[in-house]
Amino acid sequence: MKRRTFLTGALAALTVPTAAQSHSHAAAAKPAPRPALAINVALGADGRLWRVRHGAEGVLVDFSDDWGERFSPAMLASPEHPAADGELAPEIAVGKGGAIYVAYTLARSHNPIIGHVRLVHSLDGGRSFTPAATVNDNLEEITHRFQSLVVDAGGVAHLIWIDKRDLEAAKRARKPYRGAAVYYARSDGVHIGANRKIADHSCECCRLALALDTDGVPVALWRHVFEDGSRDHALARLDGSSARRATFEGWRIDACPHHGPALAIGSDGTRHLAWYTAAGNDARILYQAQERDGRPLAPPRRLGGGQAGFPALLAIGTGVILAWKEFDGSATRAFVQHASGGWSPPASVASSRGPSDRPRLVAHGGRAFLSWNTRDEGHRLLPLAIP
Amino acid sequence: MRLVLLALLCLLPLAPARAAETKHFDSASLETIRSARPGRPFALVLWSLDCSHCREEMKLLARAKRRHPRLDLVFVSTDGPDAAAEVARTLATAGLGSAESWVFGAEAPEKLRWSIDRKWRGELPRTYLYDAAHQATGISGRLPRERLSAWLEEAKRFRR
Repeated sequence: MKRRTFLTGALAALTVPTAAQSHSHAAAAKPAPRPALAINVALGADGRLWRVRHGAEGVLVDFSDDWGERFSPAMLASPEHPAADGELAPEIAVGKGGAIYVAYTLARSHNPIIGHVRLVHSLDGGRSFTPAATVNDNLEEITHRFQSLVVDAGGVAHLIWIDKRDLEAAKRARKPYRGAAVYYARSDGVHIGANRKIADHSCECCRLALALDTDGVPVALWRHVFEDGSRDHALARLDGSSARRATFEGWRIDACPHHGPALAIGSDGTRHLAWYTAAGNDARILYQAQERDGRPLAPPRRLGGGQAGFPALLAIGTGVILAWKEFDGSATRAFVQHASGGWSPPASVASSRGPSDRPRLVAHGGRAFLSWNTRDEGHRLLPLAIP
Repeated sequence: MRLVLLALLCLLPLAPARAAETKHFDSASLETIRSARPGRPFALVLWSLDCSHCREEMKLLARAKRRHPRLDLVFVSTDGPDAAAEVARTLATAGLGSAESWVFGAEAPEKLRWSIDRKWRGELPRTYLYDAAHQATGISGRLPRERLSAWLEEAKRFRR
């Protein structure tokens, strides 16, 4: 079992590229908060594993060429301190020619819901990053956060986020408005495209899921606030197609669940969805495979027990790996389960008694890993069987 | 003399004179909160800084607090220990600066949630209306005005 720790204090080798020093600090940004536990990971086409996290100096990235045996010195992607409340965390993606994109939400006030979505990128393997650019083209001091990032095969970065510009406009017009909205922008690293609204009435506080379809078009899945007030999920292909309802539990609640969905798309176009609901006073994680047109391939399947949460999905060919974490009263355990024709039994692959990040999944070249950062054990990359 | 003392003691947790500091909530804190209020009703309000519905609920609670100054509200923020100052500031701004305030400490949030209610999975706001016998009703989402009024009516009977 491979196990690598990634301790925030051990950054003696921190390199600060000169380009990063020209980053402008947001005037109203919060003082440096305690670094969060979230570590996001991404793989380049060359199999290099990249990590991004919030460190004492700002947004830090590093990489490993041997699945976490050794990591490069940490490199500063941005001196800004990203918002990291709830499910919010910096994201990283690797594009054509090894271009590295890092996106995060910059808090603009002491009220953490006010922020801007920021994007930096590097063309020299992380040695230098562009100054941070704001992705949202509405610059009101309101909610623009919970960014989600993917890079397509052509090297274009696709970002979606939760945006309250329509809610604020409705408030000014004294009109009712449910929830927030999902907005979308593309970037080639140099230019950021005009923002496009994907849907009105998203939930305000759950992370968004984003995955590339078989033809390279991004597909988004998010918790929505439907007309009857239920916070189930909606899905949209970001090619101008309209959003459709994707989950149907009817969880009606005026609350912030702080629990967003996961999405992966198989080589056959199957949409794999996993989400949290507490409809009917029964808190649970559900998984369902759906056809391109939304037709379910089976009824939703429950994952884990009553404390299961924060699902992750990874499609490998036509199979899928599912991961989640679950508290047993004294420790939190990370579980994985495979579906490829049949189902493997759920397997506990790691545990921790302290606070932990959500589990994340990565695969490359016939190998798959669970990435999990915990306060007490540090960052671990745990090898998984491939379905 | 004894009666006067008793009366004073009864008033203590109900109407603190000024804003108390925000304390760190650990897996034994709920017991501390309950044992400070033997035989008395109170409301335990779970919230976070990034929860817009929580701020809406605070407006309702602040109005209720003005109308019923002895209403015993205990706020517990799930933001984590670093947020204590901002938590206190937010409550003060909402007109709830005199209420007891806690913030999730260093233990795993799921462990702290478990110590409050195994059925509660982190959605906010989450409000527990405790009766005099400390039987609690948990409500997820913005507290409906009628639920609060009904509880206040019942709570009043125990305050005489």
